[in-house]
Amino acid sequence: MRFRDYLLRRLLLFIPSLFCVMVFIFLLVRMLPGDPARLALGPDAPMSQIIALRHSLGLDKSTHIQFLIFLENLIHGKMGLSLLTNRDVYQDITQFYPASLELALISMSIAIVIGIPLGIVSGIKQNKWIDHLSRMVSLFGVSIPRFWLAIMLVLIFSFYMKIIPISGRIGSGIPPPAHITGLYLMDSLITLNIPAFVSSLKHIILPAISLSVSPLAQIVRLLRAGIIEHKGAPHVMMMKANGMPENLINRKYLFKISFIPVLSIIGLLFASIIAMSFVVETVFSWPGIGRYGSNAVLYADFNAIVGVTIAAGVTFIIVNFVVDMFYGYFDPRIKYG
Amino acid sequence: MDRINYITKSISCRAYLESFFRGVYVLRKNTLALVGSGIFLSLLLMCIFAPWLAPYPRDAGDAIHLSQSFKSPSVSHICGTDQMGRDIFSRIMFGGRNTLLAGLIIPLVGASIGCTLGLIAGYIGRRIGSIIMRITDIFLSIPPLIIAFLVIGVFGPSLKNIIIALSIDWWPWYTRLMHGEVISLREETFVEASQLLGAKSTRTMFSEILPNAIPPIIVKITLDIGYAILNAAALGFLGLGILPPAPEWGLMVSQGRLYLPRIWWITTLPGVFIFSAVFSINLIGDGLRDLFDVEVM
Amino acid sequence: MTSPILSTKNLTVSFDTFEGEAKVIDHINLDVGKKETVGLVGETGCGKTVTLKTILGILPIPPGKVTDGQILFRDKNLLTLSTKELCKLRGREISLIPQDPLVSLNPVFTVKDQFLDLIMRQGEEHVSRINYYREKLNKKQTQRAFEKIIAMLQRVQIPDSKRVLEYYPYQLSGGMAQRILIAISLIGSPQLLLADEPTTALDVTVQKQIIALLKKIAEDSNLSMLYITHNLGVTRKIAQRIYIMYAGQIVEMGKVDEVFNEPLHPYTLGLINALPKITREKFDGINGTIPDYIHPPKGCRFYPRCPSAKDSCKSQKPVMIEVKENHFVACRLFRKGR
Repeated sequence: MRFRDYLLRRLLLFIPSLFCVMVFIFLLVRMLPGDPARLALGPDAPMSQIIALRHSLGLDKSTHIQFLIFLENLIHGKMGLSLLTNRDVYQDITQFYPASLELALISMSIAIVIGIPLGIVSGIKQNKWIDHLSRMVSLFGVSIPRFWLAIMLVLIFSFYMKIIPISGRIGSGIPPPAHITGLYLMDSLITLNIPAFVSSLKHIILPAISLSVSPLAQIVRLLRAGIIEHKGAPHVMMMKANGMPENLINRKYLFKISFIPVLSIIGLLFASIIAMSFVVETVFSWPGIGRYGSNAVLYADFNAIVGVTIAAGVTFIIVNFVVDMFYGYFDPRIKYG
Repeated sequence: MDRINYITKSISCRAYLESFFRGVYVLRKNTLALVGSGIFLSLLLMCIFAPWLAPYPRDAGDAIHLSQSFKSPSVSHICGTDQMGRDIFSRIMFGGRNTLLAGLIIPLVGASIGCTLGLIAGYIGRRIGSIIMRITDIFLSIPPLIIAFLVIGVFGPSLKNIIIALSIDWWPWYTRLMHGEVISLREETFVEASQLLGAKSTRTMFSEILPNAIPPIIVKITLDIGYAILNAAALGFLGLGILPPAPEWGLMVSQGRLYLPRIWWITTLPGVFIFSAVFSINLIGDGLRDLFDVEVM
Repeated sequence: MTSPILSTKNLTVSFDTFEGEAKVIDHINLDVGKKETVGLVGETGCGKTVTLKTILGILPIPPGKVTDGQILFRDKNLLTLSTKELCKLRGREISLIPQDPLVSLNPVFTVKDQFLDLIMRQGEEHVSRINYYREKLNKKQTQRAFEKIIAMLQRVQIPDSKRVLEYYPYQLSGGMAQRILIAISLIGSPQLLLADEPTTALDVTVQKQIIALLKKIAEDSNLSMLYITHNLGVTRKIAQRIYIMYAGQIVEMGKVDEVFNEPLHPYTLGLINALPKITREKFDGINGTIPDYIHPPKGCRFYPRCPSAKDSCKSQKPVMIEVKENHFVACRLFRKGR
């Protein structure tokens, strides 16, 4: 009963956060020096054209009304034209978003699937060789620039070893799988399109590894610290003394309580994946929001910048919300307390 | 009264000195942190004294020697030359000034703003506190780096803008950290004692709470220097930082991409330096974290 | 007398620390007879919990190490057993009642989860994932285990046991949690209970109930119990024999009433005199603190604090002597039979 209240409370916070993000983005972009209409039309455009464009863009109205127009357009899927693609930004984003989402999800999955067992083992076998190894690996992982790592991986696996293709999301000869979720791996599995699956896998593996290294390292460190902190705890001693098998204690009981601080940063790790995808996608020419966004920033394509920021912001808020739900499972004190 | 002040001051001075020496002793026992400090200090010195140490200082500017271009690493050019024939090692030394400067300033600025706000929000609380924390939460609900992208998108690429943009991105974390610290320290008895003795709010804030809240902040600043370097280099890589022909480590990595895979040194070697800088500062940060026995990420 | 169920002989345990080797337990000889409750009394830091952990084999082995002695449980030396054999013993032959009940249960799992897992997997050294899930899905087995748990909870006088099982530890009161822990320790039908100051963290009124409960259970089930505490009064209520421990050494041992009525060792005297009594106005403590385990005194470890110390106490270690029938003391002030 109370868990539902907790979820409801988190949901209710969701909407104002979204709203505030919109306001913030809107205000920040409106702060730009210069006149958007002039910038869009170029320095030689006659004044009358500029005034006309300003009027049609609603730039001559007051800020509040501009914001409402902004929101209204947003709901109708009109985010303004992109300077680079000459389409409505909304279309660009819907086209590129699934690629980034897939990349982010795979990267996060790698980080979690490898990071959790490694963290547990590292914490339990403290100061044995595997612990030292994983600590070194973690330190490397946190310190390595992800864009540089991406380039190094491409050098090794694509250029020298030639086993992984250099760029893109799927092989040039292979048509993308049917669009069900937009995530190539999932779609090709659902439609049992094996060539597409293998090709997508080969293309996604290097960018995903590049993005996952830093979150993986942080998960390992934090989980290890948690396990070391809790492994001498009275409840662990009680279970051991009364005959509970040690691997059950470690994998179930010690793990859950040590995982709580990791959970609180998972949202952040996902955000850092989103942020770093701007660079990694550029390296791999991955057709996602990141590459689109970094081009937009480079060429001052304001509508696109706003669009990308909104997409990233919304994704972040949703991810945080999902993580909050898991939090309730891992720490029951939150549920009822 | 004066005599008591004098005694108190001399005791506390001695206490500070003692804890400082104890700190140095523990740090010395932690060899990894020492190694890290060594590496980082040498990198710093190398970059600070670049104008005197670099073999080809003018290559960091707009010198062009096309006849020397694309030379692989050799004795005369330790890291080879780039497409304009410029010595990469010299460019790395000068580029480090930009990258490392950004890395050092950003956390300090972010921490100054963030900690002040956090201190006020935590200690004074009530209306101002709520407002500050709400604003902080809003900033925190936007993914990191996105704010930086926005700011640079709006104000254009340059080193100064990178620093400003990333500082804006960074301060909310310090506010939250400081706020949490202050809230828990506020309940301690020595704070109550200070208030009972009649100290003004500002005095209690700065001389009682702040010194006890500092250790996690210091650890965080140190670790953040590493993250700031990575982020600044990433922005430079995208071309959003300092503009060519000025050298910057991220920018150099990006410029060298065109010539891969045969001409590998333009891209690879600046990256090695980025990695070394971040790695060494992380070693220092870890050592500090063990020293202060603190659980900051 | 029949052979004791538990017997430590010359048990010596040390810890490797930064500053050196801390000789925490020094050649102690403890016996717990069948169906007997033995009290082990000593102040904080004298090595009581370490003794328990060593018996159960859960002492963290670096930095701890057993440098001498044996622990005989039913005439088998526990120190020579493999981990697998030790695991079979824990919970099923020897079990532990921990000190602070509210931190001795995992806070993020319900009581039911922890109890159920314990009862179904007790004694195994290693659970494979397949077996774990297979047994979990086996409704009949789970139901049987569940019923056993309910029965045990009723035995420790917890009303409404079904509801309590669904609670998380932070929702329990201290007394309730301790009863659950007692139930957990009994579920495997052990022969020996190791009680680590089970009432120290509880309110006085609850203490009384728990002690009475423990006493009843020990009598009903013919259990042996090693009851550790720093509270002399509690020992008198529950134990038949008592060991007094100081700084890792046993200094006195005997039947409870005898030791109380005629304490021999100066430390015991000090402890008894330190108890506040309504009839007295002032009460004395014992001057000084426990010794440094890394550089312990060569002779008697109590020497620096002993009001009746002789010069020879400084250099020569006292040996355990039987002063009266079944009343032993390790002190150079005494001679056999006097």
